[in-house]
Amino acid sequence: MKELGFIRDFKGQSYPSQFLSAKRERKQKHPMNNLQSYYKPLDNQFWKLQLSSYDEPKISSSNGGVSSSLLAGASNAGSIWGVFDSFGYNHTSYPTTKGTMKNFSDFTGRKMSSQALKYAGRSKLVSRVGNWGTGVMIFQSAYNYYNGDRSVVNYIDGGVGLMGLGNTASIFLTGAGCAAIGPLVALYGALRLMMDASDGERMQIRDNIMNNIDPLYNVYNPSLGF
Amino acid sequence: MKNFYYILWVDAIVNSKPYKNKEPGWKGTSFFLITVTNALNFFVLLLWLDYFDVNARKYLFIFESNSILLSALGGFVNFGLPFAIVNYYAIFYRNRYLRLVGKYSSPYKGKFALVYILGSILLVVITIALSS
Repeated sequence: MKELGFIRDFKGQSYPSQFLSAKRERKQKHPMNNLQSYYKPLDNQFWKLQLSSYDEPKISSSNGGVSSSLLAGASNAGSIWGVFDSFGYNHTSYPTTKGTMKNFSDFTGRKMSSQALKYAGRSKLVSRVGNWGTGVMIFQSAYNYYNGDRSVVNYIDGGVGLMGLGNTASIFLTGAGCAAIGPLVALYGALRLMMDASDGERMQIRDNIMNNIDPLYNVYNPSLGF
Repeated sequence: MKNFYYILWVDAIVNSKPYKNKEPGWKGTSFFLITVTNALNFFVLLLWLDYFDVNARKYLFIFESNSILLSALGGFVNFGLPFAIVNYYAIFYRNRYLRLVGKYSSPYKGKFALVYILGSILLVVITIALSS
């Protein structure tokens, strides 16, 4: 029979060593206390044996882990900015120091006031970031297409991006265009980016299942609760 | 060719609504429109090279990931960035557009730039329809 030793804790109270090690083990096993060991079943011999007859698990930093939540945050922030640019921001007028609204076009032929310059600068920044959001849609679609992506989603991405580009050009150069297209493109971009961000977790779970490892391996998504 | 390039830019700048109305943002929007359209032209050229079995991928930066942000970065670096640099230094660096607007007239009333952009979009659609 194993001999029981006594261990003194930091409060000076003594426990049998077996009791303390069992307590420590329980604490380590609890998922909330040790997420790293809980989500790394590959360290276990059982999983190593299981994996020997299958492919190596596809563990990519872009699909799972903290990077996917960073991607989600960045893309959602970009999308919200696009919607804000299309729906919310006033690019034609600004509030004066007296509290009234004045059009930027009132300064045609003369120097802008400091208040007008301040709001003009903000308008420029907002519209620039919004435009680059549309550009991102086109660039990623073209890049994926050139690298062999012939999925329907990629065609739709490219189509929406090109429609937005054509509409922006028409409004910019002739003043004629569909006012609804800009907000619709921004909304589509928001939905598409959110879908893509959540797709990282789905792809990782699919790869994990196909490789016969824990489906939650390398998956981190606070919105889903794991 | 160089004249066509400058005429295109002058046509896009002088006939844009924000430039005429002295509103902000015309520089960024015109730069964005022409640069993205140039990038689309390059994309079409690469697709046609691909069609004739000329592999240009070895000269491009390929990111080994399918995430949307890396794809966008790859697309921008490969298709957009070279034109963004050239256009910036040829047109906007040290307000060169002021000299160009004085030197080149724009008799097309914005139609040249608009036809170029819409034509490029149509070219992309036709090329993709033929290549897929």
